[in-house]
Amino acid sequence: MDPAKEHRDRQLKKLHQAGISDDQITLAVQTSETLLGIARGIASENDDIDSNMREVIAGMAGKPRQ
Amino acid sequence: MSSMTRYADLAALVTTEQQRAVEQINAVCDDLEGLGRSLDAVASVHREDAISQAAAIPAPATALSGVPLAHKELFRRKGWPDEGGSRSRRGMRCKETCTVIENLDAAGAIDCARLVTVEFAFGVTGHNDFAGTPRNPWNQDYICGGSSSGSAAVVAAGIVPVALGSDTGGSIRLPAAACGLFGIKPTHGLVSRSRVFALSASLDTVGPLARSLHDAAAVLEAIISYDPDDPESIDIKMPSLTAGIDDGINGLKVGRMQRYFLDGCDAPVAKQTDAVINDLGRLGGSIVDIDCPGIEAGSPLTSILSATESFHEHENTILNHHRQMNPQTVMRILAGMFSTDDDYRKMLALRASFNHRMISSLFKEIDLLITPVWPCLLPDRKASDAGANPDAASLIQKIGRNTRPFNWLGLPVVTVPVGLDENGLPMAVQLVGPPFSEAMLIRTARVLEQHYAFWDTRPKTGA
Repeated sequence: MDPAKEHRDRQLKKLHQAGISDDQITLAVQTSETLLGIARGIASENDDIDSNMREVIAGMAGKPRQ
Repeated sequence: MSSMTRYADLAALVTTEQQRAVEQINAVCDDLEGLGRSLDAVASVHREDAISQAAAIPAPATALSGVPLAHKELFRRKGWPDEGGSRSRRGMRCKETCTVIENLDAAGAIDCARLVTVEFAFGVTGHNDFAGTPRNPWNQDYICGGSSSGSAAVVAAGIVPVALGSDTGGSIRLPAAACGLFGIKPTHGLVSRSRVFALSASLDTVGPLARSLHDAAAVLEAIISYDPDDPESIDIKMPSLTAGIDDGINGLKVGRMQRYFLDGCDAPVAKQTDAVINDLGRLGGSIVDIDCPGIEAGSPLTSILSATESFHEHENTILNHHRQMNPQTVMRILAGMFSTDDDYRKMLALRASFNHRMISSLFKEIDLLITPVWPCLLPDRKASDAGANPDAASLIQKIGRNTRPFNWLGLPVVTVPVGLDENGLPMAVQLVGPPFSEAMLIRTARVLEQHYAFWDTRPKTGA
């Protein structure tokens, strides 16, 4: 099995067990994937940092209080 | 009683006389309990412990003997609260004292209180539903910035001359700039983080916020030390930071970077920064226009590395106590939980090669770089509250764009207050130098301190 997918599945299980909401989990996954994508892109010196950062904005800031 | 110490500088407070030290401690503790709490900036006051310290001030007198100080609540002292600004840690107590506090004790400083932080030090505005959102002494409708928000409020209000803060993505510099203070983020590794409440092991940095540059430099001198308990501590002999403070800047090459740092800021901020650079040119520096392509990558790289390391540090709390935490803090930390060990290793490897290339390129033609700290005018409390205002999200991400790159690079930075904006709130620039260039940055900041005489301009609250 792909170690990255294995890690992701393990972390998702922890989040579900901890009672983190589906909305928060979706946002966390998106933010993580975008930031890691930026880091990998910078490593390959071939990435559009500015456009990817816009996707990070919502995830890192979190959602407003209900 | 309180007026005897308010707005005093370090030199005026130095004493080895126990009775005078106790009088000063009582005055400062009164102010912390009164003015400090009214600003929502104080986490805990420890008058009895401080008075006990006064009985053991070491002789002979040093630059800090008998001086009452207070620090961000991340700086642990055995037996004192250890809440990290979070409801999830309510009632916890420190089991040990961190090295920087031991260093200040050894220098004779008196530790009076802990000051409010953003929860887990992970936020740039200063909002904290649990510990309080410190009010800016210049105008209480405005934020202090974060995460060393309480430190900035209490120093700006004149209660203590200096307070320690920590900086992982701008958390010393943003509050210092918002409150009209000097803030020093030293070279990574110069000041121990051992036993300080951690956010991000390879990015956290400790430094002072002060109204007077000399006072900030004196406290930094007292806390610089090699510490084998901090794996990233560096054993290096530094020159005095205070002895040559008035030596001027003749011949220094001052870098101005239009792309990203000036073009990416609101017009009044870019205009003010440009004016400061031009002033420095007239005061003995020579201005060099430069670019450093790719430096902006340090901003998102700091975001992912800090999220990855903070999840590693606080996994247990996040998973088991997230309902007692601010949802914004939870989301910021969860963003790092999907990074694999391999991702993390690659980030650290990238950082090493990126920084070598970037630092060599940046300081090839200049001695220091000047940029804005805040990219916008200081926002008010409501506009910047992500918990109440959905539009705050993009503002919050923007706020740290100028500060985060220098955490990734591990460089020393000094923030300098340079005037007031159209709302009567402080404006500032940051001076960035190569590793271990603190003395040169402080010398340059001193030229600006004398030129702008910001010390004489005081906020409405506190004066």
